[in-house]
Amino acid sequence: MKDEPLIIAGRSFNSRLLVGTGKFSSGSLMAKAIEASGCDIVTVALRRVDLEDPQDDLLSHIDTNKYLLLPNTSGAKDAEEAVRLARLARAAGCEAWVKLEVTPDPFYLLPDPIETLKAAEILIKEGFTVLPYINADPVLAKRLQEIGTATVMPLGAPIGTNRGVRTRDQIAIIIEQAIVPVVVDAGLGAPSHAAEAMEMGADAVLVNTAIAVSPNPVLMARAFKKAVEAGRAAYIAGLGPERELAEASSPLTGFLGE
Amino acid sequence: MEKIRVFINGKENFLDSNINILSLLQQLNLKPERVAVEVNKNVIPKEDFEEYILRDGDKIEIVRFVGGG
Repeated sequence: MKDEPLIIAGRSFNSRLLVGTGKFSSGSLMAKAIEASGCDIVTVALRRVDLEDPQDDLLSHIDTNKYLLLPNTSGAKDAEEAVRLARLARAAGCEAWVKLEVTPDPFYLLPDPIETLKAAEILIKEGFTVLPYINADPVLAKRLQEIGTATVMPLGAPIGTNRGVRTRDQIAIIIEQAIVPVVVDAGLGAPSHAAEAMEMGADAVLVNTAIAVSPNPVLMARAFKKAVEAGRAAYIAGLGPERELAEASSPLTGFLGE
Repeated sequence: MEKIRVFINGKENFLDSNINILSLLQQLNLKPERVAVEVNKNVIPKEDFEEYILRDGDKIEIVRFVGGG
């Protein structure tokens, strides 16, 4: 299948699957799963160095020439903290790309729309390419695109819940109105969920937990790769319409009785 | 040698006075290219690590990338 590449902020990517690097049981297993996923973009977080154990280094497992590191601002509870984390990530040697997430609520980790918009404005002014993690709110998605975010990343379900595309109807509106790529992020727990988002016309999906916590992360990464490709192909091909009543697939005439 | 009292990632530490960030990272066995450093909430660019002299009372944050979604 000939498909256009995914283009984010003028940069083109072959894979429409973004992979998170959290929760893997080891760095080498993570590296193998990333490889199997075929992804081009991996997300990372920023934390204090553990001075008791300074040797544990994530980047020793990731080839930064091959993958674009997309640092997130996880842990930020307001715009100020998110901006601080983004600046630190850039200073740590990343390109000025950031997955902006502001999650003050510890139970559902739902993103704060007001602080997210505030932080996005500041970071865009500072030259960052901003990919904001948002609830599936079409109005917020629009506002963010208007100020110049590179994508919008609506959630399917809360982070790490594996519950699938529970925000389906809202995401459909976001996709319909989008002028930048829509990356469905969070909550995708099975390859079928990823395929569903892609069939709906999402430009990409981001998966972490479902791959990382699988007993076989490498095989699961491969399964997500295929699901994303399948969903994308189905979207391009065009799904048949849904109807209420059955419509026979086989001819109803010309056999027996007639 | 005279000492200064600083906080590194929230923990109290005593360092030689006139120490720069690059030397501190070397003491801590950290590769400068893999970390980012904030002093009193200001990000310090890597190219300034060597000339930036730490002072008594500084609050230093040293961060790096970890797994995340």
